[in-house]
Amino acid sequence: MHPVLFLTGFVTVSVPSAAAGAFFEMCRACGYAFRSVKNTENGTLYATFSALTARRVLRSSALRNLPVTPCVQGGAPTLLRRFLHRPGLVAGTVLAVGILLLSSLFLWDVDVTGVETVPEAELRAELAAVGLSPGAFLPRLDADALAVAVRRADPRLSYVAVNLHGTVAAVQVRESVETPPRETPRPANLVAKCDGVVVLPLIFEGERLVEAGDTVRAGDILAGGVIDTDNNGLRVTRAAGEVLARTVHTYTVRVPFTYEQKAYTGRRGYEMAFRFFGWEGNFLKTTGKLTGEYDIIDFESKWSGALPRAVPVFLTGKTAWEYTAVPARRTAKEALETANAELTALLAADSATRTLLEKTVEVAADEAGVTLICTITAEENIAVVSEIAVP
Amino acid sequence: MRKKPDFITRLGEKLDIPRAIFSGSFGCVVEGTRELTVRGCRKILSYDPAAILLAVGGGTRLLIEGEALLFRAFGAGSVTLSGEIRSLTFQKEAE
Repeated sequence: MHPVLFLTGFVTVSVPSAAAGAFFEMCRACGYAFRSVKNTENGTLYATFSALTARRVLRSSALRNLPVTPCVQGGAPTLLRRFLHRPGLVAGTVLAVGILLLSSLFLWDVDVTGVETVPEAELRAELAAVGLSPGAFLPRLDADALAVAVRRADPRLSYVAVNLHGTVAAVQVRESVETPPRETPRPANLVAKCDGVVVLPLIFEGERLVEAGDTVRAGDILAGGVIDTDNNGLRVTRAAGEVLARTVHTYTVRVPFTYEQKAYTGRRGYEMAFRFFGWEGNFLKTTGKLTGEYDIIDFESKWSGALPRAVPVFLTGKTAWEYTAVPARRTAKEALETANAELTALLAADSATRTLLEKTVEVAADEAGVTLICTITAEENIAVVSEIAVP
Repeated sequence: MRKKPDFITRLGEKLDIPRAIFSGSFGCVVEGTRELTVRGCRKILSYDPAAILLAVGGGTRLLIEGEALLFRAFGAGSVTLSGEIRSLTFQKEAE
């Protein structure tokens, strides 16, 4: 369709085949220009005029007693007329345009960069406390004053800068680096954290009290912090070093044949809220109807479309999936596989601090489950610092 | 016996004046067999997708026969129609 015809509006009229000649003659004589015309198989003629011309055509047809009837009306004026007949739609459109225009006066989003140890949620809460949060009125925001206020409010921050880019505030922070206070080293011994056979004692400070091949028990002193000197008497120091020893550890993993597993009932509860800039309004909550345990899945329906960032109008909420614990039973093979997996995880967790030399695994099964007893021989540093009180 | 042309016609022929400028003249422009423009149309006498009868100048009628004939535009004494044009027949009013 021609865009001009759409803007001015159009009317399609139908003319029976018997009156087609007179209709054409009327159009020719009066100069009514149709935009398109087509002839159907049953002989009825359909001609489309602009809305203005169509009025004249219908008037002239009535004067000539021609059976011309309008059958289709369209175009912008018709749409506008229909639109204006729906007050809710008009009000919604006016409201949407108003919100669109007004939204440029409010802060849409806050971008925070530079946080390392300070939780971003805490920082955002502090920013909100000084007035920098989505929904803040932009003409009243003083970026420099906000930066100073946040820096003063949080001693963990050494530098804060707030830059306003349109309706987005970019907050750059630099965290304070705390220098640990210098402390006078306190005297300490090195003691064994577990039983073992010393393989290589490496004592950097203090008096070495064990030799390679010695058997030590947990708590035995490996290096003393009190040194008896020939010329100066007793001297205290903070013993330091590593004592590599061969140790033996036992892990026990038991996996029962019966266990409880989650069975989702199919019942779900919802909590939904509408968030508009900084304002949040709850409008649905059905989780109260759930009686059992449930898993919660949070969601946010942020929409960005082709925009570089999300629009600050979105739905947020959570879905709760109700479940009940039902007894289940695993086979012996499954129990053994589970036990092996748990044992592997335990050994992997401790592998960072020791070197595994030997491993033996015993499997014991009874009517209730499977038990793995794993004994390992490893080499590790057994020395730990134990401070001593000096009067 | 051949009818003698009227004075205006004879004058135009003598002076090489185009006939289109004389009142009551008509003309046809056929674009292939799909489109026809008739200048000097005075009235649409009848319409049917298979045959259209026009009154043109000089007491002449023009019968256009074909298939799916349809008027496309009107303007300043001319009509344009399209369709599968088979024949054009000129008739005198008296016939």
